[in-house]
Amino acid sequence: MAGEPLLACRGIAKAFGGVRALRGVDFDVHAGRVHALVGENGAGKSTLTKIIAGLYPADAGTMHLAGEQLAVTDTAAALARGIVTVHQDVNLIATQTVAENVFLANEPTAGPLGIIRGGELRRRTAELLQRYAIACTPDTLVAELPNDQRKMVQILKAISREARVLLLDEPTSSLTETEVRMVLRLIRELAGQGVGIVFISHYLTEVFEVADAITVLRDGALALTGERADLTLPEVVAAMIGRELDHQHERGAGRLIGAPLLEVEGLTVRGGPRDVAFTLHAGEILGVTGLTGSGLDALGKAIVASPDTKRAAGTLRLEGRALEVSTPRDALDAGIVLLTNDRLREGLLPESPIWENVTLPVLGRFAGTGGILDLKAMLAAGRDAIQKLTIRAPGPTTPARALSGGNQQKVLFAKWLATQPKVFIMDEPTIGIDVGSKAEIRAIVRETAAAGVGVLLITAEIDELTSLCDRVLVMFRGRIVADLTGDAIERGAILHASVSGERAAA
Amino acid sequence: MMMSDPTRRRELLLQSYGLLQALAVLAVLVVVMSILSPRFLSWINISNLMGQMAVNLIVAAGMTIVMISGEFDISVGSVVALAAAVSAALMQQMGVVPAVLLSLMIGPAIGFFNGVITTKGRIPSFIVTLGTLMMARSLAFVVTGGQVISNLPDEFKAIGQGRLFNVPIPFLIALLCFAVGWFVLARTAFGKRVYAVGANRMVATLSGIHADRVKIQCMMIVGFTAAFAGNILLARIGAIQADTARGLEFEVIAAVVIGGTSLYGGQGNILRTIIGVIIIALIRNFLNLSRIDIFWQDFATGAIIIAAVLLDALQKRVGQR
Repeated sequence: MAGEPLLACRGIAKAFGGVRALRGVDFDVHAGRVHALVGENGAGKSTLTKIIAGLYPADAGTMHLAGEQLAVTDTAAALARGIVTVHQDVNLIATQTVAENVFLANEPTAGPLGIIRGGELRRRTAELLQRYAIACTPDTLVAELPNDQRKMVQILKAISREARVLLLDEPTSSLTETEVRMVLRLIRELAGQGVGIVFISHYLTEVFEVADAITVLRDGALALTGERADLTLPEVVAAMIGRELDHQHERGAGRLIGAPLLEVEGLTVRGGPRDVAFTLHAGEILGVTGLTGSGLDALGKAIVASPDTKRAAGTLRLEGRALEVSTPRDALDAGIVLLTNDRLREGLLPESPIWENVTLPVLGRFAGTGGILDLKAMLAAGRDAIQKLTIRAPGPTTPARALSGGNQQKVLFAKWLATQPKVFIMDEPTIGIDVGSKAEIRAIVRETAAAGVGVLLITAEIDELTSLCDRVLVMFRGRIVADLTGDAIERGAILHASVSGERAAA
Repeated sequence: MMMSDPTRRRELLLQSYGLLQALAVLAVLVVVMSILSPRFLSWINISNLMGQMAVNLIVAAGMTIVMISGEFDISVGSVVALAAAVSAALMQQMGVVPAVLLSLMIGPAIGFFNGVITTKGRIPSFIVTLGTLMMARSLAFVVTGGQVISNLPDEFKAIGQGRLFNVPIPFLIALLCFAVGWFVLARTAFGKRVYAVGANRMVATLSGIHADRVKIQCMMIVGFTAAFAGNILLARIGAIQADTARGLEFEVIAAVVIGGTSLYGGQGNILRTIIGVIIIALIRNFLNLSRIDIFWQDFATGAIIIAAVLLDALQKRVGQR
């Protein structure tokens, strides 16, 4: 262990409206060392780093920077002390050059008018680029850079502010394997220059590659901390999930899994799934999971040809026949529907009443000659949906906006069930809804599959996978790395594959 | 099934509140004007107004539909002039019916062009139609050769200048357009698709609606209403010159907005557009009657557009709290 810590946090606690996000955490950063911070979503990683960066104050605890009490009240104060955060999203101005971005709002200027000294700007950027062996020029437009160099420019921008402590939030999440190598090398070099680095990542293999020390948070408390050399990957995974018991499975109860329904082959999306292949059977609930950046979010959209997700390659077969899907309409006509994970922006028309929402994909069914609608039948369909899915709403004319999240989600289910789908792709079906509604939605998912529909359940919630799915695929950086069935569908195995990209040795 | 529906009642109240408000503005205008100008309430003045309003009304019906779909068309003024010019030029050679039919086709053709460039080229319709605004205006000058075309057949002018129950026929035709527009928007599958595409293109597309196709159809509809209005204008005036109906587009868009249609698409009621058109026409009429310098007219209209949109935005913000 290297001597005095550069940044020493002691007993940091923070609650948000009664929810204890951090329960007294100690955390040290040493100059010249990389300290990885890992944990599941909601474990408290981002809360801790945001407190260090001055985004919000801690309820309790102290922080010392180089032995001095650190009273960070806002982000500007943290920046002034050399605590710099590199956020997960690349927040660079694509239409400006590398040099302009690196020194944005920090430009070397001359005279009272603040005229930018372009020569010095470029020279200092060139120095930085050279020192860290980044292969671009100060005058390159950020728009022309590949993803890894953008990330490195973003890190340089942080360095140019004379960072002493650098907080890197998921710096590799949107990168390909080779790009990851470049960014990890830069991180090691920065550590070599004496910067203290906090490396937050879901990718445990990378953590083991780059970190000197690892700290695991779970439910806002310290679960494990130690030198990397003393730890193993299974130990870290075990610390992340704790010793809690797995949920009792109710998988496949009373359900018959039928013939192959949807066969996907070679599905590829730029920055998303890569060469993904699987077969979904009638009556099956097939789960797919993965971390942010695994390509999970683009999977459903790529299948139904959502306009914002271009398929680069891949073929679909439905019931053994080749299927051409180039618009969502084609998918709908073939009986493939997608429940999006963003119901207010991509699923429902919030201002429209329930009856209009549930009939939108099947307007043709209610249209007579000249496209004249049978409004009575449409209202009845709305009433029907309310009754069948126990939507708690005053009536079918209530706008979707006025409903709770859980009831909005039921309206969305009703909308897609009305199309009588063969394949129902559900992207995070229980996102942002209360516990009671979650149970009801899960019951709807089971009933849907029991009726012979093939369900592709895309979710990051491990509970959902263990309690619903007949089979689970795990994605890692765009590829399917694990295919779990039966007793293998278990929290530890799913998490292990998600964070390491490899199947756990059984 | 639940009988009480308090949310719905509140919704209806809010909707009718907007309508009542527009009607109240209209009533106040009428009262103020009748006090300030005794001639205002005379049937001669009112029926004149109806005739003058007809062209704006017809275009506004189409504009409401295209704005609900989330697009604009600012080429309508030029299309009115071009259709009228073509109709007038052809009429003298081939007779009324073929001339009118051919000139009517100009509208959907330009609308189709606007729609395809807007949706496939992903260019704001405001910009695309700014281009066609200039192109159509230029063509109108080419067709007329810069001259006034008059000398139209009497049976054609009878449509524009005649009256039924002492009401100008163009006004009645305009109301018919609104009846059709209302029916299409409220009672047909196409209408529901227009609202859905305007409210949220992504939701509509994922629901299997070809959003681009719907938008192109809407732009063809507004083009048709412009060409149709051009013929009504021609019949009413009995002559055409190429710079007729300049600036009509903004007066019509203002009327649609005053009528409560969202500038961002997805919301609006075509019947309320009628009130918007009437309000703008009344203000112009008032300025004429009270002999205020004609140069101030556009200033007043502009100020009223800003006031109406501002009021609408403020109300929505309050409503969201």
